[in-house]
Amino acid sequence: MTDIRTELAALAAGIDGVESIDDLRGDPSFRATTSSFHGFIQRLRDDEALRFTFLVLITGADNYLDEPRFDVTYRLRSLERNQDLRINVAVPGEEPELATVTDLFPTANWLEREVYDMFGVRFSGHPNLTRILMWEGFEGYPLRKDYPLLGNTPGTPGYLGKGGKA
Amino acid sequence: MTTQVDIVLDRPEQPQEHQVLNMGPQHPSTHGVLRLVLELDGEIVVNCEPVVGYLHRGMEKLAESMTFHMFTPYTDRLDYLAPLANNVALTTAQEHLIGIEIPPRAQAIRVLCTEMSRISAHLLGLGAFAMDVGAMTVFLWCFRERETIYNLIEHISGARFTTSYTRVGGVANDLPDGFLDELKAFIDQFPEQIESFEKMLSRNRIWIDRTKDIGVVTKDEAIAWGLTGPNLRGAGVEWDLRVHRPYLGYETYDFDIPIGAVGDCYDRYLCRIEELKESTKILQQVIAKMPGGPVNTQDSKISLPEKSKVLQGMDELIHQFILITEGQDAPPGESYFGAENPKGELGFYFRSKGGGYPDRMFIRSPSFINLQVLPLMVKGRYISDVVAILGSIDFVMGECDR
Repeated sequence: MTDIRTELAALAAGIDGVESIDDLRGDPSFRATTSSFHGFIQRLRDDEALRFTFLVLITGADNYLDEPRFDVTYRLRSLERNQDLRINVAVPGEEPELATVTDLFPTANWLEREVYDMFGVRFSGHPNLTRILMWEGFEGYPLRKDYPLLGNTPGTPGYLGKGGKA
Repeated sequence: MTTQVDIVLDRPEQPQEHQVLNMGPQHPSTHGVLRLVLELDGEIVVNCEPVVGYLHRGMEKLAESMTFHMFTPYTDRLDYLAPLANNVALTTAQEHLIGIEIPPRAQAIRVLCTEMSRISAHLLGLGAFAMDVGAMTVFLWCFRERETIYNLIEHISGARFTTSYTRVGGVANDLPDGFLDELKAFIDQFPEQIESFEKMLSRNRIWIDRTKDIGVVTKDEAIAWGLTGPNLRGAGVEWDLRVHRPYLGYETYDFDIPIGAVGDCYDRYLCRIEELKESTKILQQVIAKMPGGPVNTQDSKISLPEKSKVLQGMDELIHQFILITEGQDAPPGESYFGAENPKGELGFYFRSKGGGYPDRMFIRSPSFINLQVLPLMVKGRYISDVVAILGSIDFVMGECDR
Protein backbone atom coordinates (compact mmCIF):
# COMPACT_ATOMS: atom_id res chain seq x y z
CA MET A 1 0.00 0.00 0.00
CA THR A 2 1.48 3.33 -1.02
CA ASP A 3 1.78 6.15 1.44
CA ILE A 4 -1.58 7.86 1.84
CA ARG A 5 0.03 11.30 2.08
CA THR A 6 1.53 10.98 -1.40
CA GLU A 7 -1.83 9.88 -2.79
CA LEU A 8 -3.58 12.80 -1.12
CA ALA A 9 -0.98 15.27 -2.31
CA ALA A 10 -1.33 13.96 -5.87
CA LEU A 11 -5.12 14.27 -5.70
CA ALA A 12 -4.95 17.79 -4.26
CA ALA A 13 -2.43 18.91 -6.89
CA GLY A 14 -4.92 17.98 -9.61
CA ILE A 15 -7.61 20.37 -8.33
CA ASP A 16 -7.40 24.13 -8.72
CA GLY A 17 -7.67 26.07 -5.49
CA VAL A 18 -6.61 23.28 -3.13
CA GLU A 19 -3.26 23.46 -1.37
CA SER A 20 -1.62 21.47 1.41
CA ILE A 21 -1.00 23.25 4.70
CA ASP A 22 0.93 22.29 7.82
CA ASP A 23 -0.81 20.84 10.81
CA LEU A 24 0.20 21.09 14.44
CA ARG A 25 -0.16 17.36 15.09
CA GLY A 26 0.69 16.09 11.63
CA ASP A 27 -2.75 15.25 10.17
CA PRO A 28 -2.93 15.79 6.40
CA SER A 29 -4.47 19.25 6.02
CA PHE A 30 -5.65 21.31 3.10
CA ARG A 31 -6.90 24.80 2.46
CA ALA A 32 -9.52 25.03 -0.27
CA THR A 33 -11.38 27.92 -1.85
CA THR A 34 -15.16 28.28 -1.63
CA SER A 35 -15.49 27.13 -5.24
CA SER A 36 -13.15 24.13 -5.10
CA PHE A 37 -13.84 22.46 -1.74
CA HIS A 38 -17.07 20.68 -2.73
CA GLY A 39 -15.44 18.98 -5.70
CA PHE A 40 -12.44 18.07 -3.59
CA ILE A 41 -14.58 16.46 -0.88
CA GLN A 42 -16.55 14.58 -3.52
CA ARG A 43 -13.34 13.23 -5.08
CA LEU A 44 -12.07 12.15 -1.66
CA ARG A 45 -15.34 10.35 -0.92
CA ASP A 46 -15.66 8.60 -4.27
CA ASP A 47 -12.00 7.67 -4.80
CA GLU A 48 -11.85 3.86 -4.72
CA ALA A 49 -8.43 3.76 -3.05
CA LEU A 50 -9.00 6.49 -0.46
CA ARG A 51 -12.69 6.11 0.50
CA PHE A 52 -13.09 9.11 2.81
CA THR A 53 -16.70 8.15 3.44
CA PHE A 54 -17.07 9.28 7.06
CA LEU A 55 -17.63 12.93 7.93
CA VAL A 56 -16.41 13.52 11.48
CA LEU A 57 -17.30 17.17 11.94
CA ILE A 58 -18.02 20.52 10.38
CA THR A 59 -17.36 23.56 12.45
CA GLY A 60 -16.60 27.23 12.10
CA ALA A 61 -14.28 29.78 13.63
CA ASP A 62 -14.28 33.55 13.65
CA ASN A 63 -11.15 35.60 12.86
CA TYR A 64 -12.75 38.84 14.01
CA LEU A 65 -11.23 41.99 12.45
CA ASP A 66 -9.34 39.89 9.90
CA GLU A 67 -10.42 39.07 6.37
CA PRO A 68 -11.54 36.52 5.32
CA ARG A 69 -13.42 36.49 8.56
CA PHE A 70 -14.71 32.93 8.90
CA ASP A 71 -12.98 29.61 8.67
CA VAL A 72 -15.12 26.52 8.13
CA THR A 73 -13.39 23.24 8.96
CA TYR A 74 -14.33 19.84 7.57
CA ARG A 75 -12.84 16.69 9.01
CA LEU A 76 -13.14 13.51 6.96
CA ARG A 77 -12.18 9.97 7.84
CA SER A 78 -11.38 6.90 5.83
CA LEU A 79 -12.38 3.87 7.88
CA GLU A 80 -10.59 1.44 5.54
CA ARG A 81 -7.28 3.31 5.62
CA ASN A 82 -7.67 4.53 9.22
CA GLN A 83 -6.79 8.09 8.30
CA ASP A 84 -8.25 11.50 9.12
CA LEU A 85 -7.82 14.69 7.15
CA ARG A 86 -8.81 18.30 7.63
CA ILE A 87 -10.01 20.81 5.05
CA ASN A 88 -10.27 24.49 5.90
CA VAL A 89 -12.31 26.88 3.80
CA ALA A 90 -12.02 30.62 4.31
CA VAL A 91 -15.34 32.48 4.00
CA PRO A 92 -15.59 36.27 3.67
CA GLY A 93 -17.33 38.26 6.40
CA GLU A 94 -19.69 40.03 4.00
CA GLU A 95 -22.61 37.68 3.25
CA PRO A 96 -20.77 34.48 4.17
CA GLU A 97 -22.00 31.63 1.99
CA LEU A 98 -20.79 28.13 1.12
CA ALA A 99 -22.12 25.21 -0.89
CA THR A 100 -23.73 22.49 1.20
CA VAL A 101 -22.26 18.99 1.47
CA THR A 102 -25.58 17.42 2.55
CA ASP A 103 -25.76 15.92 -0.95
CA LEU A 104 -22.58 13.95 -0.14
CA PHE A 105 -23.06 13.24 3.57
CA PRO A 106 -26.54 13.24 5.15
CA THR A 107 -24.92 13.80 8.55
CA ALA A 108 -23.83 17.28 7.41
CA ASN A 109 -27.44 18.44 7.80
CA TRP A 110 -27.41 19.27 11.52
CA LEU A 111 -23.73 20.19 11.55
CA GLU A 112 -24.27 22.85 8.88
CA ARG A 113 -27.35 24.09 10.67
CA GLU A 114 -25.24 24.51 13.77
CA VAL A 115 -22.56 26.50 11.92
CA TYR A 116 -25.33 28.69 10.48
CA ASP A 117 -26.89 29.07 13.92
CA MET A 118 -23.65 30.01 15.65
CA PHE A 119 -21.75 31.96 12.97
CA GLY A 120 -24.33 32.99 10.39
CA VAL A 121 -22.55 31.24 7.53
CA ARG A 122 -25.21 30.27 5.00
CA PHE A 123 -25.07 26.95 3.15
CA SER A 124 -26.64 27.21 -0.29
CA GLY A 125 -28.66 24.17 -1.31
CA HIS A 126 -29.24 23.02 2.27
CA PRO A 127 -32.69 21.37 2.60
CA ASN A 128 -33.67 23.06 5.86
CA LEU A 129 -31.33 25.84 6.93
CA THR A 130 -32.86 26.96 10.23
CA ARG A 131 -31.51 27.52 13.71
CA ILE A 132 -30.93 24.35 15.68
CA LEU A 133 -29.59 25.02 19.19
CA MET A 134 -30.90 28.57 19.56
CA TRP A 135 -34.59 29.20 19.02
CA GLU A 136 -36.30 30.60 15.93
CA GLY A 137 -36.42 34.36 16.17
CA PHE A 138 -33.18 34.67 18.12
CA GLU A 139 -31.12 37.58 16.87
CA GLY A 140 -27.38 37.47 16.35
CA TYR A 141 -24.87 34.69 16.07
CA PRO A 142 -23.55 33.70 19.50
CA LEU A 143 -20.15 32.26 18.62
CA ARG A 144 -19.02 35.31 16.65
CA LYS A 145 -16.33 37.14 18.56
CA ASP A 146 -18.31 40.39 18.56
CA TYR A 147 -21.24 38.72 20.33
CA PRO A 148 -20.96 39.57 24.04
CA LEU A 149 -20.33 36.84 26.59
CA LEU A 150 -22.57 38.52 29.16
CA GLY A 151 -25.40 40.93 28.63
CA ASN A 152 -28.95 41.96 29.19
CA THR A 153 -30.66 41.43 25.87
CA PRO A 154 -34.43 41.83 25.49
CA GLY A 155 -36.07 38.61 24.42
CA THR A 156 -33.53 36.29 26.02
CA PRO A 157 -34.18 34.17 29.12
CA GLY A 158 -33.07 35.98 32.26
CA TYR A 159 -33.69 39.46 30.86
CA LEU A 160 -33.81 41.83 33.81
CA GLY A 161 -35.55 44.76 32.15
CA LYS A 162 -34.12 48.17 31.30
CA GLY A 163 -31.20 49.15 33.48
CA GLY A 164 -30.90 45.65 34.99
CA LYS A 165 -27.52 44.07 35.49
CA ALA A 166 -26.83 40.60 34.16
CA MET B 1 -45.50 -5.48 11.31
CA THR B 2 -44.21 -5.13 7.79
CA THR B 3 -47.73 -5.62 6.45
CA GLN B 4 -48.81 -2.46 8.27
CA VAL B 5 -46.10 -0.51 6.49
CA ASP B 6 -47.24 -1.79 3.13
CA ILE B 7 -50.78 -0.59 3.75
CA VAL B 8 -49.56 2.97 4.09
CA LEU B 9 -47.41 2.85 1.01
CA ASP B 10 -50.03 1.13 -1.19
CA ARG B 11 -52.68 3.84 -1.06
CA PRO B 12 -51.02 7.07 -2.08
CA GLU B 13 -54.00 8.43 -4.05
CA GLN B 14 -56.40 8.24 -1.11
CA PRO B 15 -56.81 11.50 0.74
CA GLN B 16 -54.55 11.27 3.75
CA GLU B 17 -55.41 13.02 6.94
CA HIS B 18 -52.25 13.21 8.94
CA GLN B 19 -52.22 14.16 12.54
CA VAL B 20 -49.32 16.04 14.10
CA LEU B 21 -48.31 14.91 17.57
CA ASN B 22 -45.77 16.57 19.83
CA MET B 23 -43.77 14.05 21.80
CA GLY B 24 -41.83 15.88 24.44
CA PRO B 25 -40.02 17.97 25.55
CA GLN B 26 -41.24 16.50 28.84
CA HIS B 27 -42.10 12.99 27.69
CA PRO B 28 -40.46 10.51 30.07
CA SER B 29 -39.23 8.18 27.36
CA THR B 30 -37.28 10.89 25.56
CA HIS B 31 -34.59 10.78 28.28
CA GLY B 32 -34.38 14.50 28.77
CA VAL B 33 -35.66 17.52 26.97
CA LEU B 34 -36.03 16.21 23.44
CA ARG B 35 -39.07 17.17 21.44
CA LEU B 36 -40.25 15.08 18.52
CA VAL B 37 -42.78 16.41 16.05
CA LEU B 38 -44.43 13.27 14.73
CA GLU B 39 -46.66 13.24 11.67
CA LEU B 40 -49.02 10.33 12.08
CA ASP B 41 -51.28 8.32 9.86
CA GLY B 42 -53.38 6.58 12.47
CA GLU B 43 -50.78 5.00 14.69
CA ILE B 44 -48.04 4.90 12.08
CA VAL B 45 -45.30 7.50 11.91
CA VAL B 46 -45.11 9.13 8.49
CA ASN B 47 -42.53 11.73 9.36
CA CYS B 48 -40.54 12.75 12.37
CA GLU B 49 -38.64 15.91 13.14
CA PRO B 50 -36.48 15.99 16.27
CA VAL B 51 -36.24 19.44 17.86
CA VAL B 52 -33.16 19.89 20.01
CA GLY B 53 -31.57 22.78 21.86
CA TYR B 54 -33.66 22.95 25.03
CA LEU B 55 -30.59 22.27 27.16
CA HIS B 56 -28.18 24.52 25.26
CA ARG B 57 -25.89 26.26 27.74
CA GLY B 58 -23.37 27.76 25.34
CA MET B 59 -20.44 25.67 26.57
CA GLU B 60 -18.34 26.36 23.49
CA LYS B 61 -18.68 30.11 23.99
CA LEU B 62 -17.81 29.79 27.67
CA ALA B 63 -14.72 27.71 26.86
CA GLU B 64 -13.21 30.60 24.92
CA SER B 65 -12.74 32.61 28.08
CA MET B 66 -11.46 29.79 30.27
CA THR B 67 -8.13 28.13 30.87
CA PHE B 68 -7.95 24.41 30.17
CA HIS B 69 -8.49 23.42 33.80
CA MET B 70 -11.46 25.71 34.22
CA PHE B 71 -13.45 23.87 31.58
CA THR B 72 -13.15 20.41 33.18
CA PRO B 73 -16.22 20.79 35.46
CA TYR B 74 -18.34 21.65 32.42
CA THR B 75 -17.60 18.25 30.91
CA ASP B 76 -19.27 16.62 33.93
CA ARG B 77 -22.47 18.13 32.56
CA LEU B 78 -22.04 16.86 29.00
CA ASP B 79 -22.85 13.18 29.15
CA TYR B 80 -23.91 13.23 32.79
CA LEU B 81 -24.13 9.44 32.89
CA ALA B 82 -20.39 9.06 32.34
CA PRO B 83 -18.72 12.20 33.74
CA LEU B 84 -15.38 10.50 34.35
CA ALA B 85 -15.11 9.42 30.72
CA ASN B 86 -15.81 13.00 29.60
CA ASN B 87 -13.11 14.34 31.93
CA VAL B 88 -10.65 11.88 30.44
CA ALA B 89 -11.64 12.73 26.85
CA LEU B 90 -11.28 16.48 27.42
CA THR B 91 -7.97 16.31 29.22
CA THR B 92 -6.47 13.87 26.73
CA ALA B 93 -7.54 16.21 23.92
CA GLN B 94 -5.92 19.16 25.70
CA GLU B 95 -2.72 17.15 26.13
CA HIS B 96 -2.87 16.26 22.44
CA LEU B 97 -3.03 20.00 21.66
CA ILE B 98 -0.25 20.96 24.07
CA GLY B 99 1.79 17.91 23.06
CA ILE B 100 2.61 16.11 26.30
CA GLU B 101 2.81 12.52 27.44
CA ILE B 102 1.52 11.41 30.81
CA PRO B 103 3.09 8.80 33.14
CA PRO B 104 1.99 5.14 32.84
CA ARG B 105 0.15 5.12 36.15
CA ALA B 106 -1.94 8.13 35.15
CA GLN B 107 -2.77 6.41 31.85
CA ALA B 108 -3.86 3.23 33.63
CA ILE B 109 -6.00 5.22 36.09
CA ARG B 110 -7.67 7.00 33.17
CA VAL B 111 -8.40 3.71 31.41
CA LEU B 112 -9.91 2.49 34.67
CA CYS B 113 -12.07 5.64 34.88
CA THR B 114 -13.25 5.34 31.29
CA GLU B 115 -14.19 1.69 31.56
CA MET B 116 -15.99 2.17 34.87
CA SER B 117 -17.98 4.97 33.27
CA ARG B 118 -18.72 2.81 30.27
CA ILE B 119 -20.17 0.09 32.50
CA SER B 120 -22.23 2.63 34.40
CA ALA B 121 -23.50 4.39 31.25
CA HIS B 122 -24.34 1.16 29.43
CA LEU B 123 -26.17 -0.10 32.52
CA LEU B 124 -28.33 3.00 32.52
CA GLY B 125 -28.81 2.81 28.76
CA LEU B 126 -29.85 -0.82 29.05
CA GLY B 127 -32.05 -0.29 32.10
CA ALA B 128 -33.88 2.69 30.62
CA PHE B 129 -34.29 0.94 27.28
CA ALA B 130 -35.76 -2.11 29.02
CA MET B 131 -38.06 0.03 31.14
CA ASP B 132 -39.32 1.92 28.10
CA VAL B 133 -40.51 -1.31 26.53
CA GLY B 134 -41.94 -2.57 29.80
CA ALA B 135 -39.28 -4.62 31.58
CA MET B 136 -39.12 -2.92 34.97
CA THR B 137 -37.03 -5.57 36.71
CA VAL B 138 -33.95 -5.08 34.54
CA PHE B 139 -34.05 -1.36 35.28
CA LEU B 140 -33.94 -1.97 39.02
CA TRP B 141 -31.18 -4.57 38.70
CA CYS B 142 -29.09 -2.19 36.57
CA PHE B 143 -29.50 0.58 39.11
CA ARG B 144 -28.40 -1.69 41.91
CA GLU B 145 -25.12 -2.31 40.05
CA ARG B 146 -24.70 1.36 39.19
CA GLU B 147 -24.99 2.21 42.86
CA THR B 148 -21.83 0.19 43.55
CA ILE B 149 -20.00 1.96 40.73
CA TYR B 150 -21.05 5.35 42.06
CA ASN B 151 -19.66 4.41 45.45
CA LEU B 152 -16.37 3.47 43.78
CA ILE B 153 -16.32 6.73 41.82
CA GLU B 154 -16.97 8.63 45.03
CA HIS B 155 -13.92 6.95 46.52
CA ILE B 156 -11.67 8.08 43.68
CA SER B 157 -12.88 11.61 43.11
CA GLY B 158 -14.91 12.61 46.15
CA ALA B 159 -18.10 13.12 44.14
CA ARG B 160 -20.62 10.76 42.64
CA PHE B 161 -21.63 12.74 39.57
CA THR B 162 -19.60 15.94 39.28
CA THR B 163 -16.24 14.25 39.36
CA SER B 164 -13.83 16.70 37.61
CA TYR B 165 -11.12 14.18 38.38
CA THR B 166 -8.56 14.67 35.63
CA ARG B 167 -5.94 17.39 35.30
CA VAL B 168 -3.78 18.33 32.34
CA GLY B 169 -0.76 16.07 32.76
CA GLY B 170 -2.43 13.44 34.94
CA VAL B 171 -5.19 13.10 37.50
CA ALA B 172 -6.14 15.09 40.60
CA ASN B 173 -4.97 12.54 43.14
CA ASP B 174 -3.77 8.96 43.37
CA LEU B 175 -6.19 6.09 43.95
CA PRO B 176 -7.15 5.71 47.62
CA ASP B 177 -5.79 2.77 49.63
CA GLY B 178 -7.63 -0.47 49.07
CA PHE B 179 -9.53 0.87 46.07
CA LEU B 180 -8.29 -1.79 43.66
CA ASP B 181 -9.51 -4.53 46.02
CA GLU B 182 -12.95 -2.95 46.19
CA LEU B 183 -13.08 -2.66 42.43
CA LYS B 184 -11.93 -6.26 42.09
CA ALA B 185 -14.72 -7.42 44.37
CA PHE B 186 -17.22 -5.65 42.11
CA ILE B 187 -15.66 -6.95 38.90
CA ASP B 188 -15.60 -10.53 40.18
CA GLN B 189 -19.34 -10.65 40.78
CA PHE B 190 -20.32 -8.53 37.76
CA PRO B 191 -20.25 -11.21 34.98
CA GLU B 192 -22.90 -13.09 36.93
CA GLN B 193 -25.09 -9.98 36.88
CA ILE B 194 -24.64 -9.54 33.13
CA GLU B 195 -25.75 -13.13 32.73
CA SER B 196 -28.89 -12.41 34.72
CA PHE B 197 -29.70 -9.40 32.46
CA GLU B 198 -29.24 -11.63 29.44
CA LYS B 199 -31.46 -14.31 30.96
CA MET B 200 -34.17 -11.72 31.47
CA LEU B 201 -34.02 -10.26 27.97
CA SER B 202 -32.06 -12.03 25.24
CA ARG B 203 -34.57 -14.82 24.67
CA ASN B 204 -37.59 -13.05 26.10
CA ARG B 205 -40.48 -13.25 23.63
CA ILE B 206 -41.81 -9.75 24.39
CA TRP B 207 -38.35 -8.20 24.23
CA ILE B 208 -37.59 -9.81 20.88
CA ASP B 209 -40.97 -8.73 19.46
CA ARG B 210 -40.33 -5.16 20.53
CA THR B 211 -36.72 -4.91 19.28
CA LYS B 212 -36.01 -7.36 16.43
CA ASP B 213 -36.07 -5.79 12.94
CA ILE B 214 -37.07 -2.45 14.42
CA GLY B 215 -35.11 0.70 13.67
CA VAL B 216 -32.82 -0.95 11.15
CA VAL B 217 -29.77 1.01 9.98
CA THR B 218 -27.60 -0.62 7.36
CA LYS B 219 -23.81 -0.51 7.31
CA ASP B 220 -23.64 2.15 4.58
CA GLU B 221 -26.35 4.27 6.18
CA ALA B 222 -24.57 4.16 9.52
CA ILE B 223 -21.35 5.46 7.94
CA ALA B 224 -23.11 8.11 5.84
CA TRP B 225 -25.01 9.40 8.89
CA GLY B 226 -21.81 9.56 10.92
CA LEU B 227 -22.94 7.20 13.68
CA THR B 228 -20.34 6.19 16.24
CA GLY B 229 -20.14 3.91 19.24
CA PRO B 230 -22.48 0.95 19.78
CA ASN B 231 -24.87 2.37 17.15
CA LEU B 232 -22.19 2.08 14.45
CA ARG B 233 -20.93 -1.27 15.66
CA GLY B 234 -24.50 -2.56 15.97
CA ALA B 235 -24.85 -1.91 12.23
CA GLY B 236 -21.89 -4.21 11.58
CA VAL B 237 -19.03 -1.74 11.12
CA GLU B 238 -15.93 -2.81 12.98
CA TRP B 239 -14.66 0.54 14.24
CA ASP B 240 -13.49 1.34 17.72
CA LEU B 241 -11.13 4.23 18.44
CA ARG B 242 -9.61 2.28 21.31
CA VAL B 243 -8.40 -0.33 18.83
CA HIS B 244 -7.89 1.68 15.64
CA ARG B 245 -6.39 4.80 17.23
CA PRO B 246 -5.04 3.50 20.52
CA TYR B 247 -4.67 6.17 23.20
CA LEU B 248 -3.82 5.92 26.91
CA GLY B 249 -2.12 2.59 26.26
CA TYR B 250 -5.26 0.76 25.09
CA GLU B 251 -3.06 -1.26 22.71
CA THR B 252 -1.66 -3.17 25.69
CA TYR B 253 -5.04 -4.54 26.76
CA ASP B 254 -6.65 -7.55 25.18
CA PHE B 255 -10.30 -7.09 24.23
CA ASP B 256 -12.63 -7.63 21.28
CA ILE B 257 -14.95 -5.33 19.32
CA PRO B 258 -18.50 -6.72 19.33
CA ILE B 259 -20.41 -6.00 16.11
CA GLY B 260 -24.02 -6.56 15.12
CA ALA B 261 -25.39 -8.30 12.03
CA VAL B 262 -28.58 -6.46 11.06
CA GLY B 263 -28.40 -3.06 12.73
CA ASP B 264 -31.75 -3.21 14.53
CA CYS B 265 -32.56 -2.35 18.14
CA TYR B 266 -31.81 -5.90 19.22
CA ASP B 267 -28.31 -5.76 17.74
CA ARG B 268 -27.58 -2.50 19.49
CA TYR B 269 -28.76 -4.07 22.74
CA LEU B 270 -26.50 -7.10 22.19
CA CYS B 271 -23.53 -4.82 21.42
CA ARG B 272 -23.98 -3.00 24.71
CA ILE B 273 -24.22 -6.26 26.64
CA GLU B 274 -21.01 -7.52 24.99
CA GLU B 275 -19.26 -4.22 25.66
CA LEU B 276 -20.09 -4.61 29.34
CA LYS B 277 -18.20 -7.91 29.24
CA GLU B 278 -15.28 -6.41 27.32
CA SER B 279 -15.02 -3.50 29.77
CA THR B 280 -14.95 -6.01 32.62
CA LYS B 281 -12.09 -7.78 30.86
CA ILE B 282 -10.16 -4.53 30.46
CA LEU B 283 -10.70 -3.60 34.11
CA GLN B 284 -9.36 -6.98 35.23
CA GLN B 285 -6.21 -6.38 33.17
CA VAL B 286 -5.79 -2.84 34.51
CA ILE B 287 -6.03 -4.09 38.08
CA ALA B 288 -3.56 -6.91 37.37
CA LYS B 289 -0.86 -4.68 35.92
CA MET B 290 -1.42 -1.30 37.54
CA PRO B 291 1.98 0.38 37.27
CA GLY B 292 3.52 2.40 40.09
CA GLY B 293 5.04 5.84 39.95
CA PRO B 294 3.67 9.37 39.85
CA VAL B 295 0.15 10.23 38.64
CA ASN B 296 1.16 13.57 37.12
CA THR B 297 3.85 14.73 34.70
CA GLN B 298 6.82 16.14 36.54
CA ASP B 299 6.87 19.20 34.27
CA SER B 300 6.09 22.12 36.57
CA LYS B 301 4.87 24.20 33.60
CA ILE B 302 2.07 21.65 33.09
CA SER B 303 0.88 20.13 36.35
CA LEU B 304 0.07 21.89 39.59
CA PRO B 305 2.56 21.56 42.47
CA GLU B 306 1.60 19.97 45.77
CA LYS B 307 -0.37 22.33 47.95
CA SER B 308 1.90 21.81 50.99
CA LYS B 309 4.94 22.82 48.94
CA VAL B 310 3.18 25.90 47.54
CA LEU B 311 2.90 27.32 51.03
CA GLN B 312 6.62 26.87 51.70
CA GLY B 313 8.58 27.11 48.46
CA MET B 314 9.12 30.10 46.19
CA ASP B 315 9.28 28.15 42.91
CA GLU B 316 6.14 26.20 43.62
CA LEU B 317 4.27 29.37 44.55
CA ILE B 318 5.25 31.00 41.25
CA HIS B 319 4.27 27.93 39.22
CA GLN B 320 0.96 27.62 41.03
CA PHE B 321 0.20 31.30 40.41
CA ILE B 322 1.10 31.16 36.72
CA LEU B 323 -0.81 27.91 36.10
CA ILE B 324 -3.95 29.20 37.81
CA THR B 325 -3.96 32.66 36.21
CA GLU B 326 -2.53 31.99 32.75
CA GLY B 327 -2.94 28.26 32.31
CA GLN B 328 -0.80 25.86 30.34
CA ASP B 329 0.82 27.37 27.28
CA ALA B 330 -0.56 25.74 24.11
CA PRO B 331 1.14 26.16 20.73
CA PRO B 332 -0.80 28.00 18.01
CA GLY B 333 -2.59 25.69 15.58
CA GLU B 334 -5.51 23.31 15.31
CA SER B 335 -5.90 19.87 16.81
CA TYR B 336 -8.61 17.27 17.13
CA PHE B 337 -8.79 14.30 19.43
CA GLY B 338 -11.66 11.84 19.62
CA ALA B 339 -12.15 9.37 22.44
CA GLU B 340 -14.34 6.28 22.42
CA ASN B 341 -16.94 7.21 25.01
CA PRO B 342 -19.94 5.09 26.04
CA LYS B 343 -22.20 6.96 23.58
CA GLY B 344 -19.72 7.12 20.71
CA GLU B 345 -16.88 9.33 19.63
CA LEU B 346 -16.60 12.35 21.91
CA GLY B 347 -14.15 14.63 20.15
CA PHE B 348 -12.68 17.99 21.05
CA TYR B 349 -11.51 20.29 18.28
CA PHE B 350 -9.20 23.04 19.49
CA ARG B 351 -8.07 26.09 17.62
CA SER B 352 -5.40 27.88 19.55
CA LYS B 353 -3.63 31.17 18.99
CA GLY B 354 -1.10 30.35 21.68
CA GLY B 355 -1.44 30.90 25.42
CA GLY B 356 -3.70 29.26 27.94
CA TYR B 357 -7.09 30.00 26.38
CA PRO B 358 -8.46 28.25 23.28
CA ASP B 359 -9.55 30.60 20.51
CA ARG B 360 -12.28 28.14 19.59
CA MET B 361 -13.35 24.83 20.99
CA PHE B 362 -15.83 22.53 19.29
CA ILE B 363 -17.35 19.52 21.01
CA ARG B 364 -18.13 16.72 18.59
CA SER B 365 -20.88 15.21 20.64
CA PRO B 366 -21.91 11.67 19.70
CA SER B 367 -25.48 12.10 20.96
CA PHE B 368 -26.08 15.10 18.68
CA ILE B 369 -24.90 13.28 15.59
CA ASN B 370 -26.44 9.90 16.45
CA LEU B 371 -29.84 11.47 17.07
CA GLN B 372 -29.98 12.80 13.53
CA VAL B 373 -30.65 9.33 12.17
CA LEU B 374 -33.90 8.99 14.16
CA PRO B 375 -36.32 10.05 11.36
CA LEU B 376 -34.80 7.38 9.12
CA MET B 377 -35.36 4.73 11.78
CA VAL B 378 -38.92 5.59 12.79
CA LYS B 379 -40.55 6.18 9.40
CA GLY B 380 -43.31 3.63 8.79
CA ARG B 381 -43.30 2.32 12.35
CA TYR B 382 -45.77 2.51 15.23
CA ILE B 383 -45.57 5.18 17.91
CA SER B 384 -44.68 2.53 20.47
CA ASP B 385 -41.68 1.59 18.32
CA VAL B 386 -40.45 5.19 18.52
CA VAL B 387 -40.00 4.67 22.24
CA ALA B 388 -38.02 1.47 21.70
CA ILE B 389 -35.84 3.12 19.04
CA LEU B 390 -35.13 6.12 21.26
CA GLY B 391 -34.04 3.75 23.99
CA SER B 392 -31.77 1.83 21.66
CA ILE B 393 -30.00 4.94 20.31
CA ASP B 394 -29.04 5.79 23.91
CA PHE B 395 -28.44 9.52 23.80
CA VAL B 396 -28.11 12.17 26.49
CA MET B 397 -29.50 15.63 25.91
CA GLY B 398 -26.85 17.30 28.07
CA GLU B 399 -24.29 16.20 25.53
CA CYS B 400 -26.49 16.75 22.52
CA ASP B 401 -27.31 20.38 23.26
CA ARG B 402 -24.04 21.34 24.95
